[in-house]
Amino acid sequence: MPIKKVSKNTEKDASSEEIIGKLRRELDEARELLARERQRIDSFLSSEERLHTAQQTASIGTFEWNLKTGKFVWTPELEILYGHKPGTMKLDETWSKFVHEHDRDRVSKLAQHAAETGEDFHSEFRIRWPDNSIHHLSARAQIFRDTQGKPERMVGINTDITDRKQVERNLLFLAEASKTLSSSLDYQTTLNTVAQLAVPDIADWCAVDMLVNDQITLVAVAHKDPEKVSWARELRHKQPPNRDAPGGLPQVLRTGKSEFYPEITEELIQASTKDPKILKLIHKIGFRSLIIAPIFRGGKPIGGITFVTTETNRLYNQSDLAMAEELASRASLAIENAQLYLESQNAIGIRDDFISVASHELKTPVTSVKIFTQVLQKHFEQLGDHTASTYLNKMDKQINRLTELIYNLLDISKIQAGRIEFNEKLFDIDTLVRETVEVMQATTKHKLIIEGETHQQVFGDEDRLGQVLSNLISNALKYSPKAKKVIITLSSTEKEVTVSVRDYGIGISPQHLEKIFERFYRVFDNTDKTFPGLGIGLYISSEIVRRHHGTFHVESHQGKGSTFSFTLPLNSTEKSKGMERL
Amino acid sequence: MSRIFVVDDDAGILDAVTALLESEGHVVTSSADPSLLQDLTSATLPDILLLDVLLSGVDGRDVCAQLRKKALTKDLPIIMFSAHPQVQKEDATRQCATRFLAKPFDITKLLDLVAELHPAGPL
Repeated sequence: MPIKKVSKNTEKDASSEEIIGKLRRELDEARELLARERQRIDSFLSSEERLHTAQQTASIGTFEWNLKTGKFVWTPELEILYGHKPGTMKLDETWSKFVHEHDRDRVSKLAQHAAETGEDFHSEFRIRWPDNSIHHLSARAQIFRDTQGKPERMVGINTDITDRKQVERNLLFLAEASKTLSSSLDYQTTLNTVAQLAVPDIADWCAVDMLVNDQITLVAVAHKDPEKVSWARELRHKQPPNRDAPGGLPQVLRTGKSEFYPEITEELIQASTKDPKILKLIHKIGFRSLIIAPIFRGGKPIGGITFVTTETNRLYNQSDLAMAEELASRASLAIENAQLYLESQNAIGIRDDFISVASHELKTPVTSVKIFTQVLQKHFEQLGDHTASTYLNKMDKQINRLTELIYNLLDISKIQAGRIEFNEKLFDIDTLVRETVEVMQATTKHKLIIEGETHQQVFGDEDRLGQVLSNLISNALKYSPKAKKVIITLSSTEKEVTVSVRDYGIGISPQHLEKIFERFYRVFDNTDKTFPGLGIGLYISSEIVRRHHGTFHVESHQGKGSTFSFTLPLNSTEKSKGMERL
Repeated sequence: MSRIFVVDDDAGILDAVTALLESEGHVVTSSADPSLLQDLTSATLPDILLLDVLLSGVDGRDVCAQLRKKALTKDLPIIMFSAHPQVQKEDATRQCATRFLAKPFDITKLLDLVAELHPAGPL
């Protein structure tokens, strides 16, 4: 110590006062030194404390393992990481017992490998706390060697990564659940799958409740243990949700806000019921933490997804709540989509029914008008009134058009309802083409030219296939108003016959070409002007051909014209077998 | 001239068919009620019956089958007509109708059928 000794030459050099003064000064110096030393010690102590605090805050624990003696040295923070109070955990060569049974082997082998080779050790694993809860750790360690270069000590740190793991799990679950939700429009099944997905990574329990006829109804429940699922159902049976209850699902349904109980305390349980049987069941289930997130439809809460932890002792945090709310909002969207789809299908059904009924109802008066027109026409012919007779003839043609439109509408509703039927037999395709062309020729100034012959018999509905050809020819005439001819070609191979109709009209642009077989689709020319018709002829024709197991082709060049062809198979046995009632 | 009985539940069709057949000189009785057919006697028996397939509440095919069971109407020429040609043509003819017509029909077809089934008919 640098405290000076008192001088013995006091008598000679100075008076007693001087001596005292000097002593005082020396004492002060000594005090100052002492204070500085104390400060130094204090600061040393606080830096060690700070290190501890830092380790605790960062959830880091350190250890040193002497590989030769098998002795361990560790910090109190390490004990906290393993769920022990500092000073109560004993670390020795059986350390791997703290690791989760599923990860134990893997981690032991990695540590063994590091100890033998001197390589660095790094692993992530689960541990089980004394209270049975599961936590995630990351461990890193370095090997120090002795003077001979042999591994002597392993020095490392453990870090708690439970939160990070949970966030990863949550994201993974959300991604998978979203996939499930968008996979089907049957939302009850989908919700069940989502509940199953949540267990066991996200929750020990997952249940989905929906308002069905204004009653809270459990639509899905999942737990890894089927016996416990029956407990949940039993609990629901014994204690049906009271819509006026101040908390839980009824509150979620009232407010549209999540209910979050990070930790379910005994007081909370006692407050929920007075019934000892139910209390016993609740204790048996052992709720720890709970989230109920609302499901919406049209902005109104219509249900909730409940996540519960029990035996894993996991407590939910804000990020879990956010995940649950995100999932519930995705489920809401899926349910809304399913609902909209159902409604649109219903609307389509109503429209098709209407078309069917309306076209049917139209047929009778049209029949009557047609008969009267023809009677009148005959009458005026007999009277020699040619003007009236001509007008009535024109009127009759318009009635025929009206009739055809009504039949097309009827056909479309039959196709849509799957009720179109075919009257099949073997018939001569060349004859059908010739007869159809003859009938059509009478209605047009275009020259209809038949090229080729097949000499083949086709098995199918002659009237319906004649209808297809009539439709193609009338389209060809309609879309080539300035042309002079339409060519109908017959060709065949061993397996099939093909009928093509070629026109020299406006053609179809590529963007229309893909859609012309759709219902109610109509082609516009380059001045955006369309042609008369309902846009259903090609749809009906392609359906008729398709149901004869044939194919439809179209080739078109804008401004040059189009060729529509249909090909029918010749294998009659296979065809007759395949003619399904559609 | 033929005596023709027309049964259809739609007054518009009955009117039109009656006008058509009468303009051709036939004698027409028409009704929307097929039960009148049960009261036919040898005196009121027509030469041809025109029968709609789908009548209100009654199936024309059943009416036709009942007529075939009676000696009086066993061989009566019956033309059935319907707005459901695809489905009912075969049914109707297989069961008992002599001929079948799809609605809406061309009047020449109907007049040809009448002439075919009762050749002595035309004036």
